[in-house]
Formats: sequence, structure tokens, C-alpha cells
Amino acid sequence: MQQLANLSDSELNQRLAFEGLDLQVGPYIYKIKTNLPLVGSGISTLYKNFNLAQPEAFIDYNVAILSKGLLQRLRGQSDFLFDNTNPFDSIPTGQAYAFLEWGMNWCVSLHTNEYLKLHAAAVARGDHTIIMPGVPGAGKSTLCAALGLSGWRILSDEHAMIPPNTTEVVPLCRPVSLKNESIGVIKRFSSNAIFGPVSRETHKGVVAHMKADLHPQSHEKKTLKARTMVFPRYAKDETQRLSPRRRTESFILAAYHSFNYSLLCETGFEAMKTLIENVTCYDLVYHDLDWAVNAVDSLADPEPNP
Amino acid sequence: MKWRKNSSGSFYDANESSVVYFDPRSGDTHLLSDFAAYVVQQFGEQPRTTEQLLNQILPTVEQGDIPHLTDSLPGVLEDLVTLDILKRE
Repeated sequence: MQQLANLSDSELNQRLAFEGLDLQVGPYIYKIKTNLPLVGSGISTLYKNFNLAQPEAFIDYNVAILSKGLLQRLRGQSDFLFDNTNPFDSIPTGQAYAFLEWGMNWCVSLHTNEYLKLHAAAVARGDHTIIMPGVPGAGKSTLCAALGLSGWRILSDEHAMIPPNTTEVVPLCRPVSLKNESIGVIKRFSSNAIFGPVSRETHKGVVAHMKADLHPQSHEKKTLKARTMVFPRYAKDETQRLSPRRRTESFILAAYHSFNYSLLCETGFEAMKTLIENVTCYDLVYHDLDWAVNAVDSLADPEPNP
Repeated sequence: MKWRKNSSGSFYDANESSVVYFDPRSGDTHLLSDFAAYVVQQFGEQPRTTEQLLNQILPTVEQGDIPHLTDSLPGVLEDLVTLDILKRE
């Protein structure tokens, strides 16, 4: 299958500007259009090793980020388009890359209800798959990025998608969204981190995305069985700990972190029940990233019994 | 006064001190104490008085728990009404 890296710069720009770039992202195909060099550069960097969709493949999400007309260009504004409609207000062009990524998230958050979707990162090493739900600011993406830079496969930074009544996680690897101090933390954590354009003064502050497909199997579509659910929480002044959580409390918290648990009604309840019954749940409170990575490592590599 | 269950919900009981209850009528999911969940499970189609519930529940619990459960049942029933799981008749 052809990768984006196989396209020359002019071929990539041609596709982005006219017919659209058809990218295979997990189980979905996005058609992406843009006339913004900044966005093209970000796509070229962060999606370099993503597969291009087969010709004539069904397009799941048709998105664009465009600055249209002289007036909008003079104002430094752009629009995110979904199926040629504009679901959001115009945004500053300097923030366009972050908005493209958020728009691509929005496509999945809003439309994909064949799965129970948790607002969670998911990572895997060997046969050990971990789901990490977290509210914004909990340190989920920072930990996800650090794990990805430490040999774990990033399945998703944003959506843990679980077919109902299974414990399988559908891989949906896309760049990891890092905000504010987390950007520097990850740059210091590893010199191998590759970043796309920096978007400043967004509603979340400074945002940059990290290339996430660092593992040889990053683009495999096969689902992976979840074994552990970890609720990470960055807390500067608390004692670091990895401690077991009750399943029932984890159920409620995971439901809170779900995009569509309530929408799925009884299907959602049964799906969550199946998931929670079959994973071990932990709280992870951390402020030192190396410590947190080691703690997660220990879940996949428990020490042998003496 | 009698109490009636609003709908037949689903439980997730992991043998912990709390139980997850899903109410299909409201779509709400609640984390109940194991005793509150046990109370909800006592309801069938027919409404029950507090006394009927006590008579139903007490033979199934340990002798030492009876005073505490007897005292706490009215409050639990009120809480379940607040959560819209039960209603008064």
C-alpha cells in the first residue's frame, strides 16, 4: 500500500489543494483538503508514514481547512469544513493545524456509534493493551506520548473505540495532541519526538501534535484485547501511586469519559459492563513522567513470583 | 405509603460495596450502595410498603445487621426516590 511519504511535495500539495488527500486512518478514510501551507506541512510531517487509501475507496470523513477569498485571507482566518459545510466559526489561520486535528477528532466523536467510545488514550505492548481515560489536563496525552516514545504502540490518543460486548480496542492511531508545558516535557523526555506546527493562543493555550506512528505495527488494523484500564492524573504535589480501583467506581468514571455511553443506552451499559468485568483498573497519580512510564511498564511486565 | 419501582433496570455487581444500576427509563446510570441495590432488587411489579420490604429483607440478612438496616431503610427509600428509581404511591 502506498504511503504518503511516497508522494513528492508537489503531488502532495496538488492533492491537498484540489482532489483531496485520501488517508487511511485506522478503520476510516479521511479525504483532506487545504490551501494552507502550514497545514500541508503538518500533514507531511505527522502523517508521513500513513497509508494512502485505495483509489475509489469509500470516504468516511470529507474534511477541509481552507482560507477562502481575499477578505478571509486578509483577516488571517480559515474555516474547517465537513462535507463542504461549516460546523464551526472561522478560526485564526495560525491555529489551523490544531483545528484540523480537532476537526478530525470531532468526526469520530460525533458520528461513530457502532462502538462504545471512551475519551481515552490506548496503548499496547506485546499482548498487553491499556485504556487510559482522562479529562483534559489529566496528563493522559503526555503519558501516551511518553509511552509511545518508550516502545509502546499508540493505538489512539483520543478515542478508545470498543465494539459492544467485546473487550477489543480498534486502533485509531493519529498524532498526539500536547498542550502548553507538556510540549516541553515531551521534548525533554525524548529527542526522538517529532512535532508538527505549533498553534498558539488557542482556547487550550499552545498546542502541538506529536507524530504517533512510531511502532512498526502502528498501522495494523487488527483489534487488540484490552487487559487494563488506567486512570492517569497529573498532580504536582501528591504522592505518586499506582493503585487498584474498584470496578464499579471505574464503570461510572469510564462512562463519564465516554462520548456515547448515554446515547447507546442499554447497549452502552452492557458494553461497559463487559469491558469493566474483563479489565483490571488502576489509578495512576504522577508528576514524574519517567516514574509514570515505569509504573505502566510494570503492568505489562509484572515481576515474576519468587 | 407504598413504594414502586419506576422501571426494570440492569445491575452490574462486582461483589464490592457498591453496585452500578442502569435505569432504562431515564437512561441514567447510578452507583448505589450494595444495600440500596438490594432494596431495588426486592421490587417486582407490585408496590411495597416499608414494612413489607423489611419483612422481605430482614430474613435474608445476618442478625447483627438487622437494627442498622431497619434504621437505614427509610432513608435509602427516600434516596432512591430522589434518584427517580422509585416513586411513592
